[in-house]
Amino acid sequence: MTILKIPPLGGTGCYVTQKVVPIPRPKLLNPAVAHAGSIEQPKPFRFPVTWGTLLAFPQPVDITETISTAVVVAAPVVVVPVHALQVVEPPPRPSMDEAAWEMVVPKMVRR
Amino acid sequence: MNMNEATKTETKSEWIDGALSHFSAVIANPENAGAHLNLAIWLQREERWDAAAEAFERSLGFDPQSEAARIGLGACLLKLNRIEEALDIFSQSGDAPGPALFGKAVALQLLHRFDEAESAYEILLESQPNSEETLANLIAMSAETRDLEHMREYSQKLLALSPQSTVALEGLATVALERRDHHAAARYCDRIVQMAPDCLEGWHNLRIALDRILSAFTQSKPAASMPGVK
Repeated sequence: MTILKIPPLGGTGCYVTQKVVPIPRPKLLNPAVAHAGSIEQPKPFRFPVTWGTLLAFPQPVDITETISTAVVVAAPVVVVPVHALQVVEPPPRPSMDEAAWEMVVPKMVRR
Repeated sequence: MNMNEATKTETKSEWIDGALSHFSAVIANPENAGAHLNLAIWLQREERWDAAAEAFERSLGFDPQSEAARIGLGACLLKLNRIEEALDIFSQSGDAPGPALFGKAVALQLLHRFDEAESAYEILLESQPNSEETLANLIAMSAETRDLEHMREYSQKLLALSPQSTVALEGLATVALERRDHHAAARYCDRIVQMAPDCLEGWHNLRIALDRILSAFTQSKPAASMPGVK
């Protein structure tokens, strides 16, 4: 605490004393830090490394096309020479009397 | 049900449809590289990086020539911070300009192998001089190596291509601040905060630049010569 002696106005010779209480200030561990902090420095900008184009690169493929192509390619194609071909005749049609329905529906009923 | 809830339900329904579609395609065609690739891309877009990387790997197993699967796998590994593995994957494609070389350059940069990264970026810039992402990464690398001259050069190129690029403006502001060109720094910072109002560094550096301009002005003109000051 400091005591100031203030000369009175008018020059009477009497001094007025006044108590001056200092304003408390936060204590700093290192005064040099306080000095450095008072001069503000630019803050570095952040420059992130990016690779967005890589994430956008793979595009979906149409797998139905792939599957159908695979099936076509996988299907075996057998080439048979013409001379090896046999004419396969269909089995002879049963006569009316031998027909299956003849056995189910007797002739007499039909008649 | 309000609009938000309806949108959420719709989004959830779309998500389930997408999941069912991709997983069932893989189950129905377990050896189809395309089915695994589609699933991987879907997982990647859902930011399921681990699962996406596995699906890309399976796709690559069935089709080792698939560039899409290789790039996708490398990108997922970068996201997972498995940088060395990503570098191995990208390096399989050789040094021809393209996405794989870009991935390699990014991996090298993240591994702080700056000289090799710069060589890869140079090849890329020769084939694609207007690649904004390459220029942005070169600016980032110049910031790390404190190479102001290159930072200025790449930033100016990027700004010419994209006048709204905050990366380019930040690069030029950094150079101006370092070189004590306060007027230029203030101009660039002013544009940065207009483009990105939440950029705290931009606001801080704008104030610093303006303070420096003001203090230089007051120092150059003695108080007595200023009008109104006796």
